Amino acid sequence: MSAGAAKKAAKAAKVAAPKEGAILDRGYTPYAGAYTEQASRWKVIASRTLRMSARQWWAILLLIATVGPLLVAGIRMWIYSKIGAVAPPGADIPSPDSMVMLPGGTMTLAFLIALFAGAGQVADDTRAGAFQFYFARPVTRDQYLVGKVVPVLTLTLFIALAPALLLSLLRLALLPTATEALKKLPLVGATLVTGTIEALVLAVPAVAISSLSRKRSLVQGGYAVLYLLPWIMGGIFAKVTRSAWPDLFSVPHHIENIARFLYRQPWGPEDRALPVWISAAFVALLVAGSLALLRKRLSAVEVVAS
Amino acid sequence: MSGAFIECEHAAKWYGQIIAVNDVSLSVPGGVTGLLGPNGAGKSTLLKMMVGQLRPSKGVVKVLGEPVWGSRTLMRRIGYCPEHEGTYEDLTGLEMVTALTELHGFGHDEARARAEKMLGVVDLKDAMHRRLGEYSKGMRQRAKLAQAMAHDPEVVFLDEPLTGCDPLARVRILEVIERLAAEGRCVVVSSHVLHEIETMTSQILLIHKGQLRAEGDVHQIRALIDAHPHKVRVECDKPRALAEKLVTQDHVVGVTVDGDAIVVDTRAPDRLYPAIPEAAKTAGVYIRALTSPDDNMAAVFKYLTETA
Repeated sequence: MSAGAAKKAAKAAKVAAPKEGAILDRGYTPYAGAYTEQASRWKVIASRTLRMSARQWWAILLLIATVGPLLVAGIRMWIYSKIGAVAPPGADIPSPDSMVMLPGGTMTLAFLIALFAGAGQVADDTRAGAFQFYFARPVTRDQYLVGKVVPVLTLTLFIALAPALLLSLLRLALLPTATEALKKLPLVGATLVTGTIEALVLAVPAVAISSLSRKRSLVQGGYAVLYLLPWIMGGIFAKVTRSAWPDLFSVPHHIENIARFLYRQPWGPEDRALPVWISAAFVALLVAGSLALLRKRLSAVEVVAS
Repeated sequence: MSGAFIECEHAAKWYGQIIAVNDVSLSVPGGVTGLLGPNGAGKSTLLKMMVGQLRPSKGVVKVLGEPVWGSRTLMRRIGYCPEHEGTYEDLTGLEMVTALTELHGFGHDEARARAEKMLGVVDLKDAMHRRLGEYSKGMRQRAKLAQAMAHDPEVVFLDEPLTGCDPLARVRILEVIERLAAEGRCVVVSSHVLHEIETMTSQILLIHKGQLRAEGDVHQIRALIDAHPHKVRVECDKPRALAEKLVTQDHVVGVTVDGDAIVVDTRAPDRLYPAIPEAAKTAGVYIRALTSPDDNMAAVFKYLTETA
């Protein structure tokens, strides 16, 4: 059959096709009830994602592991507060307040949960073709974005904030009078702000990087390199050069720098730190840049078969 | 809306130099319509444009009279069952269908009730509390079908819905598709397996190399393909005698004797069918069966795609 004949046949067949649909029994009743608010779609995505993430072994393990640093810091705080009360003036005893700030190990745990929970958020959906389900519904790219960021943020926030918050409350409880406790109330505010910044700066970039690849392992590797390499290299070069600038791209350095500023815990005489406004600007740029990247990647999504 | 549920007006989609769908204009009425084409023909691309997941590079795709790209309200009236998995293995069947129904704008309780009902329709009631990771391929297909129907759409798109299904699942899915069409909905089923489509409908859209090659009823399309003589197989007790009588007809281009049967190639089947009993009567031949082996989807598909 020639190409011309095939075209002719196809054209003729189109002419023969019925113009109107067959009359069929409309035996179903379309839904006439109310719909939920359009803006609330992200909550559905977020709650399912959070529920799924919280069932994973790594999430359970990391959440349980948070108790460790909390206990250690709590005991040390109790000891320092008791010793501090009876020690002679000028004795070199660490301030119990310092135990509230980034309790040892929780930043590592927060980093790990952002790594595990964040890396798969968009990558897994891209790989599995889940966009086909989401975007066959009245769900916008922005609602999907929020629904994917919030669960990672929640898990990271829990680890970054909960132990520190409990410790700050314990610190207030250990003070002998209500007046002294009131004076230390800014500790709670500092804890809330530091924990939120820490969670944002760890969680949002993890989800953003997740939109760059469909391989979870690749995303995890990229995220780990982004955080660990500048931190390790920055630490080495800062010592060698005796300057704080090699730490410019070190996220842990910036988090600690901001935390020290908020908790009024100065760096040691041998430590080198960047001005706190640089840390604040870096953190803001990193979070905003990550959101912009994520938004750009998702707004460009056309759902193509995997 | 002019009676058609779906309309494409010069729709095209290209990726750089590659043209996936080329200037397709069509209309799809109610009932079941098969979207046919070989692998890589552009079926999935066309289907995704109809679902509103791909923006046409040119032209317009309308569903229920409205351009589908970017219309969120229209999404509530469309159900889509993709070919690829895309399901979360840690969720149960009920959780997945409920969540996806909630995304259509139903409250949790309403969405759950609808999910339970639809999972029952696709025979997954007993398995709905099991994780999707434990489902067989056929069960996953049925779960995907349930999520496509739970919000009660008017137009349903099913991309290769029978892939990997066991016979029982196939029967169940075919029943569901039949029911959807009987209720007055428009169901578009994409497949490259002809007999699957043939069991559902004779209404087809045939895509090849990104172009629409045919649209309409498969028998009408076959009748219009004049370049290929129609084959009529006659089983009888004296095949040679019948062949002698029929070969003299001017519209008959060939007769092949095949054991106890003859296969007649004709350019005018309308003239051949009355001529066969006459010839049999004259030659004293007893006819046992009369069939048309190429008046089916496979033949139409072959004829319209073999020019590639």
